[in-house]
Amino acid sequence: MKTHLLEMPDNPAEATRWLEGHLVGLDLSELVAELLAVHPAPQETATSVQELLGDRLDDVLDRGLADAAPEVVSELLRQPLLLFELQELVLTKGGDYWNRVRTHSKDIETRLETGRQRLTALVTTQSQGKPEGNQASPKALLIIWYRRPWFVSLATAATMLLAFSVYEAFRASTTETAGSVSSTWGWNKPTSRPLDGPAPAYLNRLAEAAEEWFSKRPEKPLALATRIAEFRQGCSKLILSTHEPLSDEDRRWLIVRCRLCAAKLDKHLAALEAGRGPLQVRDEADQTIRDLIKAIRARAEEVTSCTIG
Amino acid sequence: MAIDFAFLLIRSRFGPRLGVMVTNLDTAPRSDAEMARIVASRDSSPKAMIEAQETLGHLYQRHGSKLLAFLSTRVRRSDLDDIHQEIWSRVWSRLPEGFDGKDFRGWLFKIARNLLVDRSRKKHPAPLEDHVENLVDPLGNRPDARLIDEERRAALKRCLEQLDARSRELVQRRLGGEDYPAICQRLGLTSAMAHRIFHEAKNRLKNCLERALT
Repeated sequence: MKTHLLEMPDNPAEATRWLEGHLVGLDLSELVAELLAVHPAPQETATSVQELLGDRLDDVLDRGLADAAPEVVSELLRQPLLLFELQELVLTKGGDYWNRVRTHSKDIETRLETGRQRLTALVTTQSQGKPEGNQASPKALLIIWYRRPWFVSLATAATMLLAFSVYEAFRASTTETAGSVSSTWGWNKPTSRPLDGPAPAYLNRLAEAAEEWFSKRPEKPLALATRIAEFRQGCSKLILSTHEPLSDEDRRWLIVRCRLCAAKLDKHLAALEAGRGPLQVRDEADQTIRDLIKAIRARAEEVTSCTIG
Repeated sequence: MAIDFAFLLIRSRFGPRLGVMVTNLDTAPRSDAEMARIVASRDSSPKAMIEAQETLGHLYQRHGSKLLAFLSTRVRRSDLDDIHQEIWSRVWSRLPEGFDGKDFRGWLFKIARNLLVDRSRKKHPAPLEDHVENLVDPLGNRPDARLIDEERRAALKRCLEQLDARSRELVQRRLGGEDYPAICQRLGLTSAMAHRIFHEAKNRLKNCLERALT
C-alpha cells in the first residue's frame, strides 16, 4: 500500500505542486488520514480555508497554491481537514490553472475513458430506444417492428439466454465447473468459522480456510470470475460476522483487512471483465489472498505473544 | 443529402464501439454554457442527436476528472465509477429542462450533491435535515473507506512512535512543510545530517507501514 505522505518532495516549490496534484486527484482522503497521524491537533487552528487564506483565496483559485505564502501550505499540511474544503473550492470554482495541474492518481485516465465509453453507449441507447421531445419523427414511427430497438434487444437477450443455456449444459459435462456464487469452501464453509476457542486458533483457522483458494486453479475467465466472487462472498461473511473469540481491537482489525481484500478482489473482477488475461488476474488475486493469509497468521502470532506476555 | 444521412447513421451506430464520442471537430474552445445549450436543445433528428452526444463528450472531457476527484472523497472507491456515470446520465436527461443556461459547472456539482443526498437518504430512511452539508460529510458518507483510512492513520502513528524522538520531530516538521534550514536551526543539525536522518526515518516508516498494512 502506497504511503502518499512519504512521497512529498523535499523542494518546497515541488511540494506545493505535489499538494496541488492531490487536490485534483483521487487519493486526497488517504493523504489526509496520513497527515492526521503525523500532526497532532494544533493548538491554534483556522476554522475555514477562507479564514486561513483570507484575501488570497481568489488568487489561489485562479493561480494555484504557489501564489499563497509558504506558511499557508505548511498550515494546510498541519490542519489537513481544511484540504477537503479547499478541494471543493478548487474543483467547483477553480480557474483554468487547476485544469493543468497533474494528478498523482494513475487510474484517473482509465476511469475517465471507461466512463466515457459507458456514457456513449448509454446516450446512444437512450437516443435510439427512447426518442425525447414531443415531436416523434414520422420516419421513426414507420420503422417496422422487428427493426425497433426493443425487439432487437429482446431478440438479442433471448439468443444470449439460449446460447448461455447451451453453454451451461456443455460446461456441466466438462471437468472445469464455474458454478454459481454460492459455495461451501473457504470462509463459506459453515464449520470454518468456529464460535469459540482462543483468538490465535480462531485466526489460524480463518487463514487455513482462506488457503483453500489455492486448491483450484481455474484458467478460464468465467470459472476464475466465479472463484473470485465466491472468495469475495466469504469476505462479506467475515465482515458481517461477530467474531466472538476476538477482542474489539482484533475484530476491527480483521474487518478492515477483509474490506481491503474485498476491494482488491472487486478490482480483479473488474479487470477480468474488462478483458485482462485470466492467468494474470489469477496471479494478482493469488497475491491479494496470500497477503491476507500472511497478515492473519501474523496477527495470530501477535495475539499469542501478547497473551503469553 | 443521402450521403450526409448515411454518414450520420454510421457514426451513431458504430461511433460508440470505436469510442468516438469526443471528436475534435471544433478548433476554438466553446464555453460551457454554449455547449450545454446544444445538448439541451437537441431534438430527435439524427444530426441533432449526434451533435448533442459529441458536445456532451466535450463537457465530460472538460469536467469529468474534477467530478471524479470530488466524488473520491465522498463515496467508496468501488462505487466511484457507477456514481460518476449516474451523474452524467442525469446531466444528459436533465439538461433540456433543468439547466438555467448560466453556470454549467455549478449545476453539474449540484446534481452530484443531490445524487449523494438521494443515496444517503436511501441508506438512512429518516434524514435529519434537508441540508446537504449535514447529510454529505466528506468522510462520513463512506464508512468502510473511513475505517480503512483510520487503520492507515493508526498504523502510521504507531510506526512514527517507534522512531527516536529526534527523527520523529524532524519527520513531523518536514512533513508539516517546514524547510531544512529552519529545521536545522531548530534542532541544531547540519543540513547533511538532517537529510540523512530524514531519509533513514522515511525508509523505516515505509518498512514499518508495509508490515502493518499488508
